[in-house]
Formats: sequence, structure tokens, C-alpha cells
Amino acid sequence: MGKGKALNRMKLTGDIEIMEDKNSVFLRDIGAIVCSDLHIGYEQALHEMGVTLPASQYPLIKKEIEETIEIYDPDTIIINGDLKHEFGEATRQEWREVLDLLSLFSSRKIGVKVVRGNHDNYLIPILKKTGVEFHDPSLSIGKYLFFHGHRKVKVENVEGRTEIMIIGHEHPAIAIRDELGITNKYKCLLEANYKQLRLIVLPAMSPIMPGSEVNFLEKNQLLSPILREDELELSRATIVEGGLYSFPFEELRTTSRPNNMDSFSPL
Amino acid sequence: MISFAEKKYTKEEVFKRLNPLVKEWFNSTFENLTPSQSYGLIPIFEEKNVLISSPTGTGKTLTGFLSIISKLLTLSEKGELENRVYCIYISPLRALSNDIYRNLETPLRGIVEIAERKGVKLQEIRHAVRTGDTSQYERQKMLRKTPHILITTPESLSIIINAKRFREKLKNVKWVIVDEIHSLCENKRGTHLALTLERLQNWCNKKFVRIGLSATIHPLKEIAEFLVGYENGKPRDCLIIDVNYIKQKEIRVFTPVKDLVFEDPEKTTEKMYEKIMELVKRHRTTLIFTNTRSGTERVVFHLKKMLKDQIEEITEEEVAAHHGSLSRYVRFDTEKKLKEGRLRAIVSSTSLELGIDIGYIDLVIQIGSPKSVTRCLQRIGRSGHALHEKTKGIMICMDLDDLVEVAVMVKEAYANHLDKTMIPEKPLDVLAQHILGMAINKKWTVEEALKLIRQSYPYRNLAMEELVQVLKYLSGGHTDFEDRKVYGKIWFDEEEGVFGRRGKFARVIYSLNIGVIPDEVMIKVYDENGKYVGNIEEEFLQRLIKGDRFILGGKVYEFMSARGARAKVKPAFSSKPTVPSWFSEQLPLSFDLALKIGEFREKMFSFIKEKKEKAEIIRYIMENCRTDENSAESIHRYFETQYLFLKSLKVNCLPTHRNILIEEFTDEKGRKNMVFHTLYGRRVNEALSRACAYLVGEKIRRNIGLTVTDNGFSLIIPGKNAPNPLEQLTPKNIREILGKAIRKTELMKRKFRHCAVRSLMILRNYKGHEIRVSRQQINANTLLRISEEIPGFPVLKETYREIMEDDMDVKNAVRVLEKIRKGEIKIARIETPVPSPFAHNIVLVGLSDVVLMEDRKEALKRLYGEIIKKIGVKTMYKPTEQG
Repeated sequence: MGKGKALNRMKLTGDIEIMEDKNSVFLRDIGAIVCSDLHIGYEQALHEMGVTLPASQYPLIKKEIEETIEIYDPDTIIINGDLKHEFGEATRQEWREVLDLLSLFSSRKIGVKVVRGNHDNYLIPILKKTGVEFHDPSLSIGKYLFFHGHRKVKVENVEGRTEIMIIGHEHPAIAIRDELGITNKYKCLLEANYKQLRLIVLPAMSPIMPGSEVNFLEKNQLLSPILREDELELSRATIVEGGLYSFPFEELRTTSRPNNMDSFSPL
Repeated sequence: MISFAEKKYTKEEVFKRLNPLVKEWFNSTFENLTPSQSYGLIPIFEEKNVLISSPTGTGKTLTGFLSIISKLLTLSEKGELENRVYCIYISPLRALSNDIYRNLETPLRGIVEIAERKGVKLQEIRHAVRTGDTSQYERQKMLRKTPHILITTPESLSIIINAKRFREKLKNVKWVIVDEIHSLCENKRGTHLALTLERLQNWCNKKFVRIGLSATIHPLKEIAEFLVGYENGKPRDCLIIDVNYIKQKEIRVFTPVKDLVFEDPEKTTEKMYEKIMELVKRHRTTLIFTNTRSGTERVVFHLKKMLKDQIEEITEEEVAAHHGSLSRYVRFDTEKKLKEGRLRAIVSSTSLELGIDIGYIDLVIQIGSPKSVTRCLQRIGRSGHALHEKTKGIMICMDLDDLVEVAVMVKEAYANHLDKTMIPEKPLDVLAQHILGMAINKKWTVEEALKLIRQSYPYRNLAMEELVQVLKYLSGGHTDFEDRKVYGKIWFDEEEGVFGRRGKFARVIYSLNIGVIPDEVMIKVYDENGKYVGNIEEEFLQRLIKGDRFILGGKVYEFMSARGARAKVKPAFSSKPTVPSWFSEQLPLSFDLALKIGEFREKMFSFIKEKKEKAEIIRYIMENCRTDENSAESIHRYFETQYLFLKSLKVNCLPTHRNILIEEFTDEKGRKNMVFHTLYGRRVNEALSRACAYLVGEKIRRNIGLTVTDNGFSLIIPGKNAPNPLEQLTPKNIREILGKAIRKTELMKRKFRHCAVRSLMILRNYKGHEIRVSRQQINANTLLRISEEIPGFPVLKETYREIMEDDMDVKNAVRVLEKIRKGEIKIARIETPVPSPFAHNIVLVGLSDVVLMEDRKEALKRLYGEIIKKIGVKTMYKPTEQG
């Protein structure tokens, strides 16, 4: 997308907004941007596994966040888990990049709240040093409850005021098969109903982490425990890459699967 | 200078020079010198580089060793044998090394016995095998008691030259023998070896003698250059000993039924097995070649079943399979039985093509086309092992295109027209591996490294710039300066022009990740009854979802489930595939042979046009192509139907190598199918088809499906109208267009991963654990996207080169386009109600690939539109455009 081109925006339920090519949501009522799964330092983790990637994903992440801030002018940014990738101790590159990102927020007077994800073990010292709020396992603001999604969080006990839960962790993507048998994958945001509550699953911010093709997976193959629950019903998927496209979830499960596609052989 | 041997030495002349003990042993074992021995022994004794090309069973291995043994013997008599390696013998197969070990041991033991009898005191001449399987203990032992003759594989040798202590033992190597060089030079294993040899030469105090042993191959001059390498821009000296035409051959083409099209396929198969069984019974041991492993399994299964059902003089145990997927134990057991003459029939795909000593074979049966004259002769050449016996082969055909191909192949085999072997040119991924190896050993200046690398034939034209790109890549030059310590595998100072070792893991990375065989995890595929169907690659499996249908071993299967390295499918023979099968077990038809088939087509069509008597045409085919009557009848009928079909449409352009016919028809789904009869072999067609698909796709902005075969290709085009892409394709623009097209194919993603592994961008083995996770951790698409950001990235460059030049044949595609420009090849475009007979195989084969010309966005919009239509707009949220 070129400069100055208007980006499509869309309202989800209530005060939640999303925007084309951006992997975060904006909660207008509380003036907060929410994003998740940045996985800073993923290249180094890959390198440890023997995969040497030539470029860094951090400049891309930073650019996206800057653009998002520019448009929404938020008071707060909530990082809903997996800010950093590493399983082991934080490396130099990660320190550099995490500190750079935090200083971006502080220079613009944006408050930062970090919710703990499954990759964030070694993050605490960095955050402590910079005085950033760290919430474990969840954060509740008004009608919203934020948690990363790798573990189940008790919902009922947040003073009965929670209406909308927001998670990450899943890295949801939609796979679409065309008539020639080619699969394209698009990052998406998921919406679901859970008892009386709404649930939103954010797309991953990391541009290189693979996504899980949620429309090709059975419910019990999904990563986040809450998505596997019986009472949970996925209602809608919105592709955020290259435009905004909302699909009723069930429709995606059937239309893009091979059994329902025509074969391509000419005879 | 490369020259051909002319002087044939008599036995007396030879043994006047060789050590008398060798003479005595030889006379006690053999009567006469074989031709390769009478041409080769003396030049090798005189320490000349020699390439010997001859069919198997003509004594070339012994030729390679005998003069060397003689010299070592002389040293040993004088007690002058030192504790170091004198001779390195390299073989592409581990199993073969074991075999040679036995073959080398026999003469050595024989000579020692003679010496003992005569009371001659000898130092022991030691020999040992060193491969990846050699234990730490044995390696240690080799340091203390070093083998004088070291038997190894190309991969192990590349590790040995980096082994701190053992490489000292190689300082004065005198001879290097490269066996089965024909199977090495045409792929990256050979490229890898060529560089290893130059690195070894660089390490050695003196020039060593190179001896190459090859089966029938063409052109020998180039193979010789590949063996000996270059010095100061010119090939080193080499003497070629070509003793290929000494064996008489008898080849026949056979078709089981009169009419391959209308006969019930089951009956055709039944008749084929009857014929095979009859042949097996008439011979002592029959070797049967199929073109695929699954084919091998099927043939063995059927033969055994036949033997079970009836009382025959042959038992089930006397029939066996031999291919790479079998466990080592089973394979060795089969080889042993074969050598002992306990088998009546042995079925193989490619594994028995190589020189494993297989004992007595008196007949070779080839099912389907082996795709090149050279391979046909190599396979048939496995029969009649003893020198004076005829080689005898029966080619069985089950498909019309195969039949025409084989008929022409046999005709050309009798004329000794071999296909040209292609040697890959300067692959940058292989180079990256060796640069790491070189950097570990010492500090280099870039000039000195370039000089060494250019001494190997594949890299003789390497540019300084290309080398520098690889050095930059390996040193992490694409990352920030401070991160290079982390990401760099070597250290490189571009300004000073020097490079060397970096990091404590370099040596481990080198020894665990060297080699060129792609990191392909094969998944075995079984049907619901647990019957083995074939193999697919793990990457292909990953994109399958339940219900997908794909082609495996020529048949359609529906994917059910997968567990570990096993996949379950069910037959869906009557349905059509839903996903393109981008893996192919099939060998490609060679360009040279395709042209010969074109000439044959011209001849047939002109016979029919001139209304030549049918009987006469049949006689022509039977005599020239050595076919039976069924085959000749089928060929004649095939050409006649094609001719009449086109005549009924008033078309004069008959598809040959000089006429490209384009047939167009609309399929039942309203898509346009364009069938191109381009008779140039599959590798050229791979190139033409993708470039054409790209050009059409560019016009109509939709994805184009394509099918490629040996005799042509087809495009499946959504929509009614399409331009003729061949008109826009020129010798000048094809490389550029093909590059763009390849970028948009599935093939590219897969090949890029292979090259990334070979270039050490993705390590197979790192810090002690094998890496399988890397596959799941990052997808090929992302890797590609990131790599494209770096200008001149060698991994990417090599991927394009490999696809265009090794998998495809862009050079000959350019030649074809030049001929089109000059009017030497004509093009005609016709509409047909149904595909013509010659088009059937092209249309039936199922998609080979897709060139993705549609924007991801467009594909999404289309699906969105479809769903909205289906469920009504009201339930959907509508995006709003805001500022």
C-alpha cells in the first residue's frame, strides 16, 4: 500500500475497530491499541536451530506499529503476550529491539501494558528496568479481559463485568484453495461466542512466524485451550491482509476444502 | 591435451613392465588381457591421467588397480612402503565400496600367496574402507596403521580432507581412482567431488594421477575434462580409452497385445506378465528394470503371485526386488543370492544400473521407456557379463507414446547414437560448502581461492564477483556489522580480500552438513489394506488435506490420513486429481532422442501420405526398430489415426520436431485447453510451458494450470480467449520471462529450500541435534521473501540456475525458439472438438504445476464474491472506507 492511500477500516462488535494490513485492534472507548505475538528475536532462535535468516523482522514490526499509532493516536498500548520469542535467556539483539520499541512508546507518551505470554519468561528483567507494567496471567480493563491464550483463565471472577475477552497465541490464518489446487494463506482475526461473552483472537504481529490454518483444522487441533471448549463457537473470521474480508466461519470450513472443489483435469 | 588412446599393448609388452609377481598372478587367473587392460595398463603404469569407458564386465576395475598394485608391490619388496595413503579409490555407492574391497582383496591375496611360495619377503599392502559408517575406533586405527589404498565415497573424502590429523596422511597421494564417474558428473554430487579433488590437489605435494572409470557415456571429452580439471585455463592432459563397442548386442521391442488402446488394460497386463514369465523360464537369470520403485514392487508382487498359483519349476523365493528403499540387510541378502546364482528373476528401478557385481545375467527386460539411448545401453549392458557374450535385452511397452519412443531408441542404439550428458555449471550452493571447508583449514586470499576453484571443471568459468557474493553471504555480510559474529559462518575482510575461519562450531557444521543430496524426508504411502503404494515427500504431505486427490505412480489416490512417516490413501482411480503432483518419479526424455523421434514421425507420416502399403510400413518398423508385429501394428495404427484425425479437420501441419501443432479445445468446465505438440523432450518442455503460462497469465490475470510431458505440454486457461504465447517468446526474452514464471510456481519454493540446505542457510544438523523442526518453524515462502530483499543473494541465484539449467533445459529451449524465428520450425494453431490421439497422454496426465499469475488479493476477492452470492450480503459486515 502506497503512502496517502486510504486504508479500509471496519468496526467489529461495540467499540472495537480494525484496519486493513494492520494486525492490531483499537478499542475506542478506552483509547487502547491491542496487539500480540510480536516474537521479537525469532531470527536468533532460528539461528540457534541452524536456520540463518538474512533479515530482521523488527523494522517491519516497528513500521507497522508507528503507522497504527499515527492513525489512532492511542493513550495506551496493550501487548497481549509473546512480545519476545526466545525460550532461553534474552540475547543482545532482543534487548536492543525490545528497548527500542519501548522507547518509541515513551517518547510519544503512550502507556504500555504487557500481558504475559508463553515465550515471555526472560522478559521480566527488561520490563522491570524500564518500569513497564507486567500482567500475569491477565489484565482486566472495563468490560475487556486480556490474556495471552496459552492457558485458560477463570473468566467469571472478574467482578462480573467482563463482556469481551481478547487473546493471541493462536496465530490464526485462513487458507483458501483455488480451482487449480493452490493454497493461499491469509492472516486473520477470529471472533467467537463463549457462554454470554464475546471472544476475539488477534492475528500475530510477527511477519515471519507461520500461522495455523484454522479453517482446515478440527476444533481439537487448535492451540489455545479456550478455543477447544465445547461452549465456544467460532462465528466469524476477518482477513486483514490486503484488504478487510469478513467470512462466517462455518462457510470457510466448507467452501475452501477440496471435497467441495471441482477437479481441474480437463477430461 | 585430451586425446584418445591408439596404442594397444600386447600381453608381453605389458608384463615386461609390470612387477613379475603381478604377471604370475594374472597368468594363473586369466588367459588374456581385456581390451581396456591392453589399452590402459601401460599408460597408468606411466602415470598418465586416464579415462576408461567400457560396458560393465570388461575388466576396467582391475585395469585401474593392477598397475598401481604392481608399483606398490615393488616398493613393498624393497621395504620402502611408508605409513601413508598412496591411492584413493572413490565410489559413489557405499555398497560398491564393500564390493571393490572384495575385488581388490582377491588379487592382493593371490599375489601374497605366490610371493610366500617363492619366499619373497613383502611388506603388507593395506587397504581399508572409510565412509560415514566407519567407527571412531577404526578411524583412530587408520592413523596408526594407515591403509595404502583408501576406499571411500565422495562425501567422506570431502570430510577427510578437513580431518586435522588424517589429512597429513594424504600429503603424498599418488593415484586417485574415480569409479562410476558417469553417474557422478551429471549431478551436484559430481560437482562436489570435482572441488574436493582440487582441494586435495592443492594440499598434496605433487600432482596425483587421476583414473576415471565410466560406463557407456557421451561426450567422453567433456567427462575427461571433468575428471582431470583445468590448469591455467586449459584442461590437464588425459588419455581416453574408449572400448564401448566390443560387446555385441541384441535388443527387441515387444508389445503384449495387438491394440494398446482398445484392449482391456487388465488383459494387457496379464499378457505382459505371461511374456515375462515365459522369458524368465527360458533364461538362467533375468534382470527386470522398471522406471519407478512402486513399479518394481508391483512386478515382484505379480510374479510371485503367478508362481504361487501354479506349480512351476521356479519358486517364489527365486524372484526378488532390489531398490533404494529396501533395508540394507534385505539388499545385501538379495545381492548375495544373485551372485551365487540363486535367483531366476531380479526386479530393480535404478539401483542395479550401477556397477555392483551382479553375477551372471543372461537377459535384461526393460518395462516402459528408459528415456535415453545411453541409459538403454547401460541397462541392457548389464547382461552377458562375460566379455565375449552378447548382451540381450527385451523392451516391453504398455503405452503408445512409450512404444514409439522405445522403437526409435532401439534404432538409435544400433546406430550408436548416444545422448549428450549434461554437467551442471558452477552451482553456488556446492561452492559455499567447500568455502567453509577451506576457511577452516587456513587463511586464504580471494585470488588464491579463485585460482584453486577454477581448476575444477564445473567452476572453470567462475567469476571473481560470484565468489565474492558467496563469501559475503557466508560471512553474514547481509546483517548488521555487530551481528556478523553471530550469523557469520566464516570471517571475510572484503577490503583486504582475505577470508578464514570463524567460530568454534565451523568444523562441526562442516562435517555434519556436507553433501548435496537434498534433505528430503520420504513418506511411505499405503492404501487402506496396508499395501505399499509409493513415496511422497514430506513437504508434499504437509500441504495435503483429507480428501485431496493426487497422482502417485501413474494412478489417482485420495488422501485419508498421515501418521509419522506413513500416509494412508485410498484408490480413486476413476476420479481426477485435485492437487498438482509436483514430484515426478519419471525420468525425462532426452532432447537428442526427442529429435530422433521427430524424424521418425516425419518418416511415418510421409509413408502414410504417400499411401505406402501397410505391410511395407510394418516391415520397415520391424526391421529398423527391431520390434515384434504387435508393436509395429500399434505404431502404424497410432500414426494413421492421428493423420486421419487431422485430415478430417483439414489440417496439414503434422506434429514433428519441425512442426509445432497447437490444439485448442474447451473442456467441460468452459476452460480453454491449449495443447502444444513440442517434441523436444521434457526438460525443454518444462521451460517452454512455464514461460508460455506466464505470458498468457500476464494477459488475463488468472492462474494458469499446466501439464508437461516428454512430447508436449498443455495450458489450462480459465476463460475463453488467450493469445498464442509462443509468438511473444523469443530467444532473447525467454530467460527473463522464465525467471518471472518460476518465481510464481510451487517448484520454486521447494527448490529454494533444497538450495538453502545445500548452501548451509538451513542446517540439517547443528549443535548435536538433527533439525527437523526447521521445516515447521518457517515456511519456504517467508524464506524466499526475505532472501529477495538482498541483492545478488547467491542462494536465490543458484535456485534459479538449478531450475532453469539442470531441471529444465533452457539452452535447448533457446535453440528451439531460434529455429522458430528462422522459420525452420513452423507453428500451426487449430481448434479441435476433442483432443487428437497424440494429445491424449498430454491431456490425461494431470496438472504438473501452476503459474500463479493472480494477485493474492484478487483470489480473495473472488472467493468473497462467491460466498456473498451464496449466503446473501445481509449477514456480512461491510468494510467502510475512511480517511
